[in-house]
Amino acid sequence: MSRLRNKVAFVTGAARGLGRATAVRFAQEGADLVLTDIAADLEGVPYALGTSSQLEETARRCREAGAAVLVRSLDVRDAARVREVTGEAIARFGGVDVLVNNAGIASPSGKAVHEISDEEWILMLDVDLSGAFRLIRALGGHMSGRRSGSVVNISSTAGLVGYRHFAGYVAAKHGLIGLSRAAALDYAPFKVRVNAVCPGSVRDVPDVEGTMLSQIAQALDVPVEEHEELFLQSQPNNALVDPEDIADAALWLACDESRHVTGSVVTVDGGFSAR
Amino acid sequence: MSRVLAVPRRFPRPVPDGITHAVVVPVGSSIDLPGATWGRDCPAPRGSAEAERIVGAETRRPLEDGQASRAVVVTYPDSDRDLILVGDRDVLDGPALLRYARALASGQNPGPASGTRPTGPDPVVPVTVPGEGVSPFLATNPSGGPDLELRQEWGATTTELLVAAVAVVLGRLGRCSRPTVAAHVTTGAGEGTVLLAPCVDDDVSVTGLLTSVRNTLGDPAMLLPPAARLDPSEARIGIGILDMLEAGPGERAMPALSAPFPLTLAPVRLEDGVEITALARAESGDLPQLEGLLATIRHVHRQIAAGHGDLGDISLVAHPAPEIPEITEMPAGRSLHAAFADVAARRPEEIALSDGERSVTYSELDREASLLAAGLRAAGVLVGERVGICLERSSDLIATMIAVLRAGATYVPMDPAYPDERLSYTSRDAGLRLVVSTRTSFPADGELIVLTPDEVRSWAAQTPDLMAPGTGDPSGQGGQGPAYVIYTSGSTGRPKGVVVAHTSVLALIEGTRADLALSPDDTWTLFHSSAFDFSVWEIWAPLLTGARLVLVPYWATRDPEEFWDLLRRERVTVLNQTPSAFRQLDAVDSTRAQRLALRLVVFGGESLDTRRLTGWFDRYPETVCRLVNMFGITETTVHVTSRTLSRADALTGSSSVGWALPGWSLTVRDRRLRPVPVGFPGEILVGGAGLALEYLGRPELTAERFVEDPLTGRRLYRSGDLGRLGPDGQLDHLGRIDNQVKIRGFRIELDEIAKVLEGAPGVQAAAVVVGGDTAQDTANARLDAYVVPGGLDLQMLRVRAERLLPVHMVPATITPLAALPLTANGKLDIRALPDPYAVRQPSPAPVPVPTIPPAATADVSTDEQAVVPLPERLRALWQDLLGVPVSAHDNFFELGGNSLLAVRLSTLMRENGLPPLNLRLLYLNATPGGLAAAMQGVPVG
Repeated sequence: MSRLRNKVAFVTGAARGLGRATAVRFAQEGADLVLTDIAADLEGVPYALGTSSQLEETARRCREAGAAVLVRSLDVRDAARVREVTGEAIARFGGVDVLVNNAGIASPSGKAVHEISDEEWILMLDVDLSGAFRLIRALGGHMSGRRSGSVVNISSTAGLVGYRHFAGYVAAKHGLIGLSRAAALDYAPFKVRVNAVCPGSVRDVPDVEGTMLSQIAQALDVPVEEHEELFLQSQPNNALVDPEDIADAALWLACDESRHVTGSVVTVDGGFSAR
Repeated sequence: MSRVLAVPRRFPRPVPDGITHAVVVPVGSSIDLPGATWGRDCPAPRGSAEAERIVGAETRRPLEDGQASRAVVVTYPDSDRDLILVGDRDVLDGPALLRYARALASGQNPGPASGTRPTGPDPVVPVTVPGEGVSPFLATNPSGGPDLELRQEWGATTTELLVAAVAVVLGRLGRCSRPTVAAHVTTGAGEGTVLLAPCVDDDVSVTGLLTSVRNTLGDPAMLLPPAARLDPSEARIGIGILDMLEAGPGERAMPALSAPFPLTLAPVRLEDGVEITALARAESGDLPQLEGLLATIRHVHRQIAAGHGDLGDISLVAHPAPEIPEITEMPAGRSLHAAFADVAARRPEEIALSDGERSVTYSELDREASLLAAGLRAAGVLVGERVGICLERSSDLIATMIAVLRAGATYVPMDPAYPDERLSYTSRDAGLRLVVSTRTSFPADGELIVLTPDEVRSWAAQTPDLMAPGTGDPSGQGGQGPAYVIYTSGSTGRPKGVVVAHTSVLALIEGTRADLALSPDDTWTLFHSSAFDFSVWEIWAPLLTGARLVLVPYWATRDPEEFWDLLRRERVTVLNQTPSAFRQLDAVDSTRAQRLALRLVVFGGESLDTRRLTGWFDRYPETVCRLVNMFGITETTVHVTSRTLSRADALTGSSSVGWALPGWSLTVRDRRLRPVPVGFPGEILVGGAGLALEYLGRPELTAERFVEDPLTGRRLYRSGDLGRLGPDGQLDHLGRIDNQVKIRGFRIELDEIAKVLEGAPGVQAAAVVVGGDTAQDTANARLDAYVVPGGLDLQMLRVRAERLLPVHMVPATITPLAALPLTANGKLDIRALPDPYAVRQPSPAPVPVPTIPPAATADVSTDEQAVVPLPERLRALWQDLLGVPVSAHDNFFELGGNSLLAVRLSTLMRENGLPPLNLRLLYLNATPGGLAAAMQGVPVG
């Protein structure tokens, strides 16, 4: 239970879903945490985003596991705020060892490419791809100066294959894998690792309050049960992935057990993208 | 493209490892805390395990680079609060940190922490480290946080006492007289680091040492400037002591959260004494070692605090490890020949010897020995005299040995293959009147009589049977009398005769019989020369346990293929080999389809590299054949220790030689015979049943090497070997003491470097010597390594050495050889080693270039100089400076260059009218071509 002892992990989008599952898992392994989330709704995103109450719940669970926690609101589109919060995290804990770029949105989606507006395209890439870039930019120098660090970018199977009517999301998640590989090369000499995790379809689990699946169903305008059934049919292992499965993959990439793993993509999708 | 990717851009330098410290002060209940502090809730009350965990975690957090301090308030149940203040020692010293924390906790707003840490490029003030570098705790270059932490309550102490205690321990364990100790101090002149190198010789008085330490610590001139940086390759500090912090009631202080030295001692003065925290890095050692070292420092500290006497009277060990009890069941009056006669009487018809053609039974051998003994008597051999035996391995050799003993005399074995000078030296030195030999021309001068065994037998034929000696004890000395004299050549001086008693050999066999399960079912070989004491074991162990001894013909000892066939044909079960001979046999065995009948292999005679045994274990699992490594010396009767080897030993490359044999004792001492703490190296001293009687005719040498233990009064032999006793009493053999050298202030064990090289795949043997022209200037001293065989990947070896050894121990050159040159006595012949050659093998052969005369003195116009291109001129200068052939692609530092030589290169370049050398440029571009390009401003890709 101490695979991250004496390490500080910075998680974006930590209010709920994969962010919460990952943060709590890290806390159980001895990490201290910087928990950030936009904790507000975003114009152009057709569903409710994480709230400060949900972020506090994640913090409570981490503290319960023994972690020291710094909680801050953070919109990853805001470069100045990214610098401010990462700076405070370093001052509070003396350093950041792990960055989990988890913040991301699934919509606006549900359109063919020629139907996507400039605003929709820019918003999607700004959050899902450029957000990760800003965090890596803010912490990359710090980590390479310390000659230690692990960045885990939460991509998606949409970073590996295409999905109909999700061009912005697919492009951003493909881009995130490219960013991971390029950053891995930049930082490899300084013992800072950068990897991507590609979750398949993750179940909406009440405990972590994730709603990804329902949001995608909504974007596609189908009932969530039907959508889940559809996904299950395409799952080689006949099961959807749980948030804890992703948290465990992120944990392995965050801790020293994966010390020679960088620039790699860990796919946790029940075999979905294997065919 | 590739050039762009290869150039690192704007990446930060590694964050310097500043020293942080922390204090914990209680916060009053009604105080409103101003200023930017972070909070953390603790669900459990102050002092609980959870509270300790949280406070510990918060005090250990590093500061951000450039951050002066961090305040965190921990809130316990019932609004109980502690303020934790972590500070940078460069900005806030101990007292300032406490003042600042108290101000914060009492509700004042003292403003931002005063002082700032110097930013920007460090103005490096080079520091010369005084004294000698010693590293009992395996000093490595500091980096990273401390991994080992040990906290102890000590009574009263001062920085002065701590420095003195550390210096004495370092000096004693490192066998040097001026060890370097670092101490942080606050004086009227300011806070800073002082490097001390007090003299800790035995005749210095405790008060003298304390005075010298006090004077140095109090001298403002000794404070290093704040920007001083020690060159890591020159940093020889093993232990550093931090400034003493003072904590008030309810307050706590953590004087260092990172360890600036390989071992850092951080004292805190509390109300009722001083708490010492020892911090070390995991690569420096383990916790038991750290505990051992701290206990030693504490024990010495106590004696220094008592404050009288000389440093020589201080003991390092509070309770010397108990001596291993000796067995005393030996029948004192027994002799070797009587013991043999008993075996012969019990097993008359069993085979005692076979030489491939014929076999000799025990009764035949006994009769033969009796006959020869009568002959020796008839030839005039007197009781107590020494008789030379110079025979090949044969039944005559064995029978003559027994016969000499029966005649009441002492045998002196000589190898017929020895040169005439050596044989006549031995004959003269041993005072021989008679030598039994079949050698065609034994160098007999003066009155020396040389008889063949047949001639001895013919003397017996002329003698009435009554003259034949029985198995009684004609000498009247019992087993205590001498049985044989074997000549050994030390590293210096002429060979000396080691006189060994009957009882020592009997004790050796009694001490091993049960453990090694020696029995009449065994078949042994006599492989070694009778003049090498390994053969004493090979001959007497089988004969006294009723086993069969196969005499190995000369040609079979030279040809491992033949020897393997012999082992198989004779179904040999017990084999004794030196590791190097075994290696050849192992190689042959691996090519054969059949397996040998061996059940026991004993290694002796030289140190064993256990890593080479895995292949053997694959073919002969431990359950089939036992491998036993035995360490021993002629002066202690063949063996002293034994260790049964396992695959685990082979995989870890264990250098342990195990426990002392029953009847032998081991102790590790310093040069004044004071015990050295467990786990630290010192000279191996041996006591017990195997000790030789004396060096023949050399009373001074005998008195020097066979000494009385001042602790127990027992007789001990000083081996001159370096060893380390483990907590379990097993001995690590570390090589010869006289292989320790000192280069640029560092004490270096050459054997340690050779061991690292020998551990590399493919390396069969390695030797390291000090090279370079040191006659003029010791800065030229250079470590030259030689490895066997040729054709090894030298770059790989170099990388390995750099990975496993401190910078100052990495050989400057590595030269491959087909074989190491050995002296006649089997030791490394340093004078026969070729000149070293540069590490970089693929370098093209250098084109000879005339040395450029200094511009100031020569009539060479600048135009003419410019004709010789810069890389060529640099190459020629390096060649002169380093004394090895240099190509344009050779690396200055790989060729033996160091910082001192770099400075000299700079001078040489100036003298030769070249532009001034920027040393940084040299470090970045260490080849003549690269440096020339860089100096001319050409980008190098």
